[in-house]
Amino acid sequence: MNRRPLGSRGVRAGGPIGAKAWPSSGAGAVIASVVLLAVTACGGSSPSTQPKTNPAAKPAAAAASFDGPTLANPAVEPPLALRDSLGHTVNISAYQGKAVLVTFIYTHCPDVCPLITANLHNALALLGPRASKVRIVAVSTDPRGDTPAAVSAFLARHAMTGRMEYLVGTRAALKPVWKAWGVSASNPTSADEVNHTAAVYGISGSGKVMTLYASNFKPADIVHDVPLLASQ
Amino acid sequence: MRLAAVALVALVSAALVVALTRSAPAVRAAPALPGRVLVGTPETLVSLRGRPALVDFFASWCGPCVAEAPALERAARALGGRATVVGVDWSDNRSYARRFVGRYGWSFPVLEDPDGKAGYAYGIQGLPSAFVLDARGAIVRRLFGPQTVASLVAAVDAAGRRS
Repeated sequence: MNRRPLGSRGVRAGGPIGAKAWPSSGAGAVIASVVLLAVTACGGSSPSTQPKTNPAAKPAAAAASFDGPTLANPAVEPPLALRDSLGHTVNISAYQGKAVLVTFIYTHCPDVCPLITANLHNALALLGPRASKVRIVAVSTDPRGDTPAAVSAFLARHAMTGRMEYLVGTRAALKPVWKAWGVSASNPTSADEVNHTAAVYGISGSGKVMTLYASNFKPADIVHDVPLLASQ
Repeated sequence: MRLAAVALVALVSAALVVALTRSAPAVRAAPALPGRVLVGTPETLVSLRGRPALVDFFASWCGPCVAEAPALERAARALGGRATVVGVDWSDNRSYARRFVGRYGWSFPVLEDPDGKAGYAYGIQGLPSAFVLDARGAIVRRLFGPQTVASLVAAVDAAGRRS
């Protein structure tokens, strides 16, 4: 499978009022720019856990029948093979036939990351037995702070132990993954806070990035989209 | 000509009224509160009726909720018998939530919304999110993000004047 960086083709994210499409540009740039619009930084000056509204967060009208924002031309998933906090190797290419939801977070994030995790937890609860069709993968944006103990505590606190694979690594190991997925991660103001891209990518059963959810996504959208993602 | 000008002014005025009406937050009946109690006594929409209420969704993992927590307790005390304050712990771990409530000495009842359903029904998009209900159980104000004692008390008192 050809695994180029995301964004080599246009991104479509629209809503009932009118779909929007972003023109194609260089590899990685399109999705990166949309994601940066779609998300907010963790911590810092955020007035609440409420992410900023963005045009990419509206449900798609023209593309497919997903409830989440969709890519106009689905991109092949970038490589993602890292170790989880227990030391097990996880490679999302092994999840053919299942929907995969990929997000980028860190454990001591005060607002957006736990909101994403809570919404994913609630989506799993709504999915019930259909949750077997989806794998949830979180990738650390804080190589230093996301220790095995911190990850374990985070997953337990959000009742996601065994339900979310939390991938960690050194900065050298994580940086190429962030780049391939169009994710930025930095510590601009504080050693304890990380400004990072915070969205949820929906990967189809055939390994294509089909949907892109803002950090304040509705679990109902995920519940609707998971069977579709798994089947495509 | 003069008639046309008057008609134009009337049209613009009508459009402005429509626009203002559309931009005003909709008043709607509050969705049901969750039935699980974390701390204190059970509260329902029926038990809240008769005076304004402040329903505040929070979580122990939410940084902005930590910032708001002391103000919420002070607002509850300032409001006294004029209104009921109810906390709703949203998508949270029960033991962490109990510690949170204890740390900030909250004296008002706190309910649990473990799967987030009540919060979604109210329309939260993040935390904290507070909803002011009038004496008849209608949502008359939505407050997103951490509030101050003054903003909380003012919003609830406005609902009291409306009732």
